[in-house]
Amino acid sequence: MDVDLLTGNLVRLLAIDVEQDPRLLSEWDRDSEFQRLLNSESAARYNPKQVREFLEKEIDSMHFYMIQRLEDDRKIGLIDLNGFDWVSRNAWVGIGIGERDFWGKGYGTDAMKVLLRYAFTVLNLQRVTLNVFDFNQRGYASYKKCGFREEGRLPGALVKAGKRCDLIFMGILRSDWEELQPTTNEKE
Amino acid sequence: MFTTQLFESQSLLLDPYDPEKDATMEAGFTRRWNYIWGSLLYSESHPLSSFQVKKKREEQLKRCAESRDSFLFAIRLREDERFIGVVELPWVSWSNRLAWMKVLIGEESLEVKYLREAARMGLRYAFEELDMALVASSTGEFQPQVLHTLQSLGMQVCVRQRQMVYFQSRYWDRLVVGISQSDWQTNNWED
Repeated sequence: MDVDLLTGNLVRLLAIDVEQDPRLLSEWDRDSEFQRLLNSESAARYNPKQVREFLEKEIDSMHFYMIQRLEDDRKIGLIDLNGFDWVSRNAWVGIGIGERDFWGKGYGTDAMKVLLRYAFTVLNLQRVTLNVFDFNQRGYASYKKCGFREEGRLPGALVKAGKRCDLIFMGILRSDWEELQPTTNEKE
Repeated sequence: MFTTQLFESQSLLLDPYDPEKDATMEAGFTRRWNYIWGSLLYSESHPLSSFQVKKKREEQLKRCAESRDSFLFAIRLREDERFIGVVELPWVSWSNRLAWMKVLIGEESLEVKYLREAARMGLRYAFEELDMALVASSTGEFQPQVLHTLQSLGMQVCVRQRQMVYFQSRYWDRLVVGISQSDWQTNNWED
């Protein structure tokens, strides 16, 4: 059975290339809005060598994927699974579309759907968890579309551009995800 | 000038953690599931040897000293300086003034007696010395006594992560609680 589980309708997920991709990741960080949407900590700049060292250090404990457009094979973002708890079968997901031109066009949602399919049908996870910041309404809507539910928020937990914002916690259970999958009849 | 002792309370001391002395005692505590689950010593919860605890705590103390974004204290009884658990701030985000806190007591009877006092010292340190804006902590729904204690100090349940923890053949919710500095000050959680 040769099924490409890491390809969706708009994107495919690729294993990270520690030789080539750090340059791209370092460039995306130049857009501070991208960083503020992605990281709870302060925005900062890291050169490709630093990014590569980080990836090499974490690559055994995290699943890093580059998000590649099907249309032209361009790498436009990254998605990762981290913080695996293999007893409770939970992992955390992080995602960012680094190329601003491709924000709000469904690439992130497609990448997340691909990752969830992989998480539940290959890794046999029971739930996937994420954090999103309250000003990231586009991200929040995308996660809801993928089946995540808000499970609460820490009020005023983070400071972005001098303003306090809420840290939102979202999660999707395998049962939530299964309910969203088309039945055999619907597929036909 | 200062009337508050940060590292002393009525019954307890917040002391430096001493891996040479405390790891053996703490290894015994890890036989208690609530302790090892709450601790960040290993990703899987299982009893640890003195060697494992000592190694982990030494690494943690090194990180604390180098990065200054985490803190570890031993909790000792004032009467005989016996080690009974730890107060940890495993992650302090200086840019957000947000800290996570863990308070672990090694024996159930001591937890009943001292958890609140120890947690209160941890909160006081985070707010009054580190000037955190928010302190968060987490517990499982299988630990109602811990949740009740944290709530008695003004922490509120902010997040309920469904089925996040597997234990004794079933899934339990993980609860995230938090308290802001203004709530801490307004309510002046002095006993």
